[in-house]
Amino acid sequence: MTKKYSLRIEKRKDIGFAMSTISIIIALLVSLLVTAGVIFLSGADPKIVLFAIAKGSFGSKNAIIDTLIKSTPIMLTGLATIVAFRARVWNIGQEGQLFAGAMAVTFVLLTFPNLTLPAYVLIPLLMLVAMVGGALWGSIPGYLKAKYNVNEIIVTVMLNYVILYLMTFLLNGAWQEPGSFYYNTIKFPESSWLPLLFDTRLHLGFVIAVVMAGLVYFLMWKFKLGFEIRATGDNPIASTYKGINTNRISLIVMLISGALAGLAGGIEVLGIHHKLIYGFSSAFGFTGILIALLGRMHPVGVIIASIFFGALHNGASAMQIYSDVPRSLVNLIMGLIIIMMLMWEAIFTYRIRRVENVG
Amino acid sequence: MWADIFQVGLIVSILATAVRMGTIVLLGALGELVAERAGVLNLSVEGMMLTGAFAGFLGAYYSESLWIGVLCAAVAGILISSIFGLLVVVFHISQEVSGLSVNIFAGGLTFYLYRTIFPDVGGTNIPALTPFKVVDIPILSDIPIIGRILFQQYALSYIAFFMVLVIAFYLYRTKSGLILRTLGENPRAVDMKGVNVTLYRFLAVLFGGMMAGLAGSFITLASVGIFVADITAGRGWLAIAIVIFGDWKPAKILWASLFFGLIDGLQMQLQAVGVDLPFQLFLAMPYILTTIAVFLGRKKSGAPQALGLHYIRE
Repeated sequence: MTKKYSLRIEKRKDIGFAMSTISIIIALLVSLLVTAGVIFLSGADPKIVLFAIAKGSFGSKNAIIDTLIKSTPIMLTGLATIVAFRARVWNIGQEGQLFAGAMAVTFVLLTFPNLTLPAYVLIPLLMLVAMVGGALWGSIPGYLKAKYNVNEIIVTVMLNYVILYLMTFLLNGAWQEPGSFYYNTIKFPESSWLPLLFDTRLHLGFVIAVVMAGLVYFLMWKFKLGFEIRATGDNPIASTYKGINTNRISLIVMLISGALAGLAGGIEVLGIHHKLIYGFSSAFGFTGILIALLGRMHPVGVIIASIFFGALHNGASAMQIYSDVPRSLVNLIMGLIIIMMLMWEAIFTYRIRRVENVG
Repeated sequence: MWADIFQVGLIVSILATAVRMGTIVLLGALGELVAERAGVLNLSVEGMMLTGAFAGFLGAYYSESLWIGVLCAAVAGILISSIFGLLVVVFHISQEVSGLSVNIFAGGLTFYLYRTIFPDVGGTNIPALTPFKVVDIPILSDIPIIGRILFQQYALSYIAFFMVLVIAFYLYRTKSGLILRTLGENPRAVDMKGVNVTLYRFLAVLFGGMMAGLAGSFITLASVGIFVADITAGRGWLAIAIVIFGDWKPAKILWASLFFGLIDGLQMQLQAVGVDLPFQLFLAMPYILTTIAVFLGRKKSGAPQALGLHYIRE
């Protein structure tokens, strides 16, 4: 009797590193193709546009520096996202926590105008202040979730709006530069500015962000707390049986996540603007979520993804000069890549196997 | 100042605004209710609403018919939710991750298309259209006070009220509604009865997307007549909050929506009267109160047991 075979689609338990990488590459290629198609449809030459993006992002030393500057805040908010999402705590409040960090720094500098500390004391202090500010704002949804099991998604989203209006209120009143028509504070003392590196515009913030990526890696994979955070995310019920206090974990990850996002805010203010200015964040907080997802929820991935998007943003400015394609193409590309990546990863989790028919 | 606020005319216009603003989120919340009752937590209501707001505006702008705009919004809502449905119901990707991703995609897509289609937008040059006018219901709209509040509204508000009845009837009085509710509690039981879980959930997601699209079109076509980035301003998230606050029940969701509409109405009218408080406080009020409401509503028991969980047949 001949054996009969048929094809069966099965779901893999674990996709594995190689398959995961291949799925990302395919997702990026497909996104590139779709983007080229979109550019073509809008009447421009995809080759010229894509070349302009590449040139604007990595084409010269200045371009590379700008790319790294742009990647700094989203690297930090991406890390903030990892810590929370790994515990399946859905912090969507990075934007607000980033504001909180920037506002905490502003508060300290405006409240103590005669602070004559040397830069090497003042800057670390202000970085700490930014982290505390972000952590405090993150502690509200964290506490509500840990203590009362209140849905953190809604609370973090709502608090983003609350702090935005709080900041506008302050920038429109107590904090506004006297005589200024715009929503911004006075310039902060020079001792608070982040030092520049290698005689370029690149500020210390980029280094801090990369160091933070290293710290997050160690925290999440080398420390017991990190293990508990990941275990809570993987299986909260089993974690509880193992004696992990998942409520405590919820609060802790919101504090860490808020601190990292707050740091992004402080760095952006002290590294770029040297004052608090309305609209200083072009959705850096929300972009952090995207960066974390693209970076496979891993610090190394976040570094790569944030530099990639820093480059895209930077290249988009060059693109706008060479063609009529609007900058907002970047937003579309971001959206496309994320959807493509999820889809291809899902497709790769299935495999087709030849199985022997029974009966 | 306070005497001005307690005038009948002002109270009536606050309540009328409350109904208008409340029914916008009501549409989104009803769609989310159906999806969540089927066990799918759709976190991309905001993005779907935004897509609807954009598609509605675009459709109406070019066809010069507001109703074609509404139709476009519904179709766009269905299309964008089909991506979400594919990720979640077919591929079993984390519902939270999928929802957030679709939000990002919708935001990027609408922003890009808007800038491409209207390249010269900026400053005072914002493409606008003449929005819907309120529809007076004959006789009823003449009732003093009540008529002004309830029966001089936009057609989409009436549709929202009507949908409360339709969805309540569907969920509690039809067999299909019973299946849908069971899906959110115990999908295995439904599967064993031979019902296609994937298809059911997918359709529930599409329905949610359509409703979110309608809600979005309400903003651009009835409320303001223009489109700008992030015009939904968190209303999609509010719709999700309302489903929680409304304990996953249509009637309670109606009341919750009107309550949030009232906050919006108060915010707008008190600002217009010139109450001497910073305007940012008014703008922040809906978000602060939503946070408080979610906190107060935390002990609700109506959450579907299988909400947010994938159903994978063993």
